[in-house]
Formats: sequence, structure tokens, C-alpha cells
Amino acid sequence: MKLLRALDDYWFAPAPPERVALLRVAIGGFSLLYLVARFGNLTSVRRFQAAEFLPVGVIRVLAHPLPPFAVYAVLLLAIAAGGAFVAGYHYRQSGPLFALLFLWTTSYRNSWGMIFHVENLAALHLLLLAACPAADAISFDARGKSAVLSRDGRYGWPIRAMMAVTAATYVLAGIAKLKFAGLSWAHGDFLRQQVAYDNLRKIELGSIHAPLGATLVQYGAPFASLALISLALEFGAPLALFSGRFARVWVAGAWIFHVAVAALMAIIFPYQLTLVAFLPYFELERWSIVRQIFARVEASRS
Amino acid sequence: MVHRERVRGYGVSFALLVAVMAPAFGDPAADSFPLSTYPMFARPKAKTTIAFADGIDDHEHATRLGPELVANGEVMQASHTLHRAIRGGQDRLAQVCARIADGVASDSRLAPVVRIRLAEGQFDSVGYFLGAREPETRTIHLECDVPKGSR
Repeated sequence: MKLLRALDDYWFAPAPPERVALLRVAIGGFSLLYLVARFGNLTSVRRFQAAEFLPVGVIRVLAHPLPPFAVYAVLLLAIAAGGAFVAGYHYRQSGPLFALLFLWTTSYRNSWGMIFHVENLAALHLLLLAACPAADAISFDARGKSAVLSRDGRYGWPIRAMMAVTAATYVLAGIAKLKFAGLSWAHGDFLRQQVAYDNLRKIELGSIHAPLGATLVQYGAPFASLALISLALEFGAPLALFSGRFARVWVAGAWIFHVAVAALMAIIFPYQLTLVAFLPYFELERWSIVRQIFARVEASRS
Repeated sequence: MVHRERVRGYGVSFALLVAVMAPAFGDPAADSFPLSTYPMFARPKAKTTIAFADGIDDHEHATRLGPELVANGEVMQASHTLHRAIRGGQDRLAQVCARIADGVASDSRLAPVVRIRLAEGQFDSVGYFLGAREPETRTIHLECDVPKGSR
């Protein structure tokens, strides 16, 4: 009983409405910019042949690819909903709408024989934000409302859930390594092969490769350490849920991990590299830059 | 906090976490989106097999064709498209070859290219960076002509 009470206290730890609202703006803003920046890529799938269509996730409801105009229409609608999501405008509708359209759009792009793994976490975080009152502050919906909102568990659980989902994705990556290769993955040979494999493909196919990775794979020694660090970060992710200090250390480690992935394999995880993925681990409303922005907004209103 | 909000918090959190963790109990190769096993850096990759499209000119000189001609500008997507076409059989491969040939025909920079060659090469992943740059095996799957009329 005590354990359940402790879990309840932890999961619904009161948080200010501004924190989850800031996460809405940051994560929603990132996702909106992502759709705009990747517009050409996301719509380029219209050129593929129907035989190449291999639906994943929610796209499995489709037996055939969408006609090109529908690909454009869904993406444009997603961008419009994204604007409303970030602004907190009619959030009860725009929140779920944007989360589902982002999920649809990114799932559709992944339904052509190759699954990229750079959008998963953003899509999951958006679903959580859409299911919570993330527009009770810093939003169009909150304008003109005089009620003062206090810290509450309903603003706390979505943040805990985002952290837990983040941790779960890293643990899953660790489990996959052990399932494929067992503990021998920690020896570093598999990681060395991975770095070689990735750079080789890019060199032979005329893409941008990572010269540092191409150089490093000529030496076996560094990869044992890198493999151990990778596994430690992946399986250590849940510990960051329970300690603010450890969370900061883990976030720094995870970010360096993604920098290393970019440096060794030229694989970019923009959500993680921009640190947006890790913002739920921080008390954003306490950051001095955020307080300065709040103060300026208040001053302009008065 | 009212009871209804607590139920929603638990319900949404539990449902999503269960869904996210579920792939851990299945086949690690059975990937999906956004629920994934995250297998990208996990598989052993001692050998690297690459599928590619070459443009061949009158002197039998081969030029590697860019991913935008094969798929959509994503180099890995292009290679996967060719891999799947190769596994999909000759008809499928012929369709992809014809699409690439049409793209080449409308690109003036590739005017010398007279036919398309779809092939696969297998390399030793680490050995490649230790000097073994040539593929251990190379398989030509299909060649098709670039249509002349459209130039």
C-alpha cells in the first residue's frame, strides 16, 4: 500500500501549469518546424510505386498509397494544426489533431520499406501532450482568464510520462542489442562493424559520410569502451526518473551519445541533438531566460 | 486534483508505456513506427550488401546514379528501394529500372548514359576501411535501356 501511495505521489507530483505549457511550445514548435523543413522529403514519397508501399503503424489501415493531393493535404493540415497546437488555440481540438496528424505524416514517410528512427520520440511526446491540459497557461485559450492556476498533479503526470517514455526507448535499444548479439555486443566488435557498415554504404552510394568514423574503424580498441558506454546509457536511462542530479548527468551523457552518433556515422537525431527531447527532465519555468521572457510579456501587458 | 483527471493520467500513461515497451517481448527484427524495437545499431553487420543503380555509357563506363533518381533523395531509402525490388522479382525490378531510365532521360547532365544497370555488391564492412575497397561479390540483376525519344 505504501508503495502504491509513493508511486501515486511520484506520478502526480504537482507541477506548475507553465512547465507543461512550455513543453507544449517547445516540443510542438520543434515538430511544426520539422514538418515545414522536411516538407519536400515528406511529400516526395508520392513518387514511389504502389508496389513499394509497406505500411507501418497507423498507416496499416490503408491498403493502397494515398493519391498525391492527399499527401499534400494531410501535411498542410498538420502544419496548420501545429500552429494552433503551439499557440494553444482551441487546444482540446488542435492538441489531439496535431499529435495524430504528425503521427500519420511521419508514419506514412516510414511506410516505404525503410523505417527511420528519428521521429519516434517526438511523435510519442506529442501524443502525451495532446492528452493533458497543456494549454492552461501561455496560450490563446488562457488569455482573458482571471483564475490563478496553482501547481497540480494534472500538470505533473504528463511530464513524468514523457520522461518514462524517453527512458523506455533507450532501454529498448539496449534490449535489441542484447537480443541480437548477447553480451558480446559489449566487446565493441559489433559497434565497430556498425560504424563501418554505415560509412561504407554512404561512401559507395555517394552520400555524406563521417570521416571521423571512417578513420576510427581502422582501430579496434576504442569500440569496447564506446559499446560499454552505450549500454550503460541505455540501461541507465530509468535511473534518471528518480533523481534530478542523475537526470542532468544522464541527459548530458545521452546528448553526447547522439553527438557521437552524428560524428561517427553522420546520422542526425534532430529531436535529441537540439535537446528538445530532454526538456521534460528540467524545471523550465525556473530558467532565467524563461523568467526574463515572462517578465517582458507581463511588462508589455501592463 | 479530481478523480477523473487521475484516472486519465494513469490510463494514458499506462497505455502508452505498455505499447512502447511491448516490442521488447517480440521479435527484435520486427520493427514498426512509432513503436519500435530500435534495432538500427543492434544487428551484426560483418558484411555490407549494397544495392545500387549505375548509368552505363557507350564506352561501358559506369556512373553511380544519385538517390533522387532511384527514390526520393534519401540515399538509404534509395538503396532499400533497390533491395526490395531485387527481392520482389524481375517485374518489380523492371518497373524500378524503367522509372530510373525515364529520370535519366530527362536529365541533360546524364546525356551520355545509354542504359541502366541495377546491381548488388557485398563488402567486408571493416575490411573496406583497411584497404579491401572492392566488393567480395558483385551481382548484376538487370539492365534496361534509357529511352531515346525523350531526349
